[in-house]
Amino acid sequence: MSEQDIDRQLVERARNGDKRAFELLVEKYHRRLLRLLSRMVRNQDEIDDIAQETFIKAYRALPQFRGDAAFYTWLYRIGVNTARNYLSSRGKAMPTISEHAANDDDEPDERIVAQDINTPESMLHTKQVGMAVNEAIEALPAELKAAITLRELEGLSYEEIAEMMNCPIGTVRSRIFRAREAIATRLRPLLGTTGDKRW
Amino acid sequence: MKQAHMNATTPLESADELHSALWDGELDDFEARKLLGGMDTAQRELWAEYAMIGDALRGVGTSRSGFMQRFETALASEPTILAPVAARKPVVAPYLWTAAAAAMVAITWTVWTAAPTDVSGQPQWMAQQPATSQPVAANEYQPGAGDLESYMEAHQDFAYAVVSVPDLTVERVSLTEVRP
Repeated sequence: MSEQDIDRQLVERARNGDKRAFELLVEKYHRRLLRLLSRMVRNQDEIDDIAQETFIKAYRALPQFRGDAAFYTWLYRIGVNTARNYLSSRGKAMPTISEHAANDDDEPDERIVAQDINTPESMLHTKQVGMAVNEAIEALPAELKAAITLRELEGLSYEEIAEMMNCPIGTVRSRIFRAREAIATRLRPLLGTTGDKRW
Repeated sequence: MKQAHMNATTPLESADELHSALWDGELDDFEARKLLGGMDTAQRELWAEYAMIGDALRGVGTSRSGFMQRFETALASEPTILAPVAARKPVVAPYLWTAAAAAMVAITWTVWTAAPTDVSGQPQWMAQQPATSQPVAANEYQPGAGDLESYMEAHQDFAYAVVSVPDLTVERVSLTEVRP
């Protein structure tokens, strides 16, 4: 089951009354949406409000989601329209930079240079998280570092990584998991989670 | 095949490792559905951590604390969606039409094959059709007396009386010849 299939599966569960399934989608995509909105709206409170409204609109519109496009592509369009309506209601123009990727079927372009969400608190948090992740990555054994980088940054499948690293797919899965665990261990103090609740 | 290969190389996989593979979309349908349908709080926390790690690696940035809490509160006040299941098309009608069509074919075939045929193999009623059909008014048809008489003769074994055509008088007839 691919990532898109998992999103569709979560959508299907949400359509059948499982709100927690939709929360998993929000957990997965809300930072990307916030970054997108931060390109159009400057105020952090407004960005949060528009993001929340976008997700609520998406939730209400789930029965109309056909699954032709990826869930994030669909969410992206709702987010752009919500921001446009918000700005229009305040007599502001939509920044043209957000228009470039509003294709019907293509994945929204994520190469936009992210602008920091402009509050000292969030900037500090972003900086701390970034530093923790970088430190964790640098501390990883080479094979774990390569595996997680190929997966998260290059978007390669386990099979492709296995071919590149000349090892079994199961080893790739294990390496990626161990890399994530190492990074998560560094992040947990910043996130206020302990990680010891799991079995 | 791919899954079998994975299972063969990592027999002692942990549940967390399965969630990591789920996040990457690398589990088969059965396992993925099972995990997605039974996530507890700790597993959801793991999901959130993997989301943050991926976003941090890609430089997406972070959200302000409390965003998810606020959203969950807002979502809780939304009516739960129960999307209607698309009505299934009735499956009986096509079979009924099929049965009716089959019955028509069977009747046609029976009539066709049971009818007496001429030398060309066609039923006689077809062979006797005129080459060009011309409409005939009902009052124009005058059957010849010979036609009707020969018909009546052929069927007189079953008749009590023979009706003579011109004057419609009734006569008793006997088929047995009286010999002196």
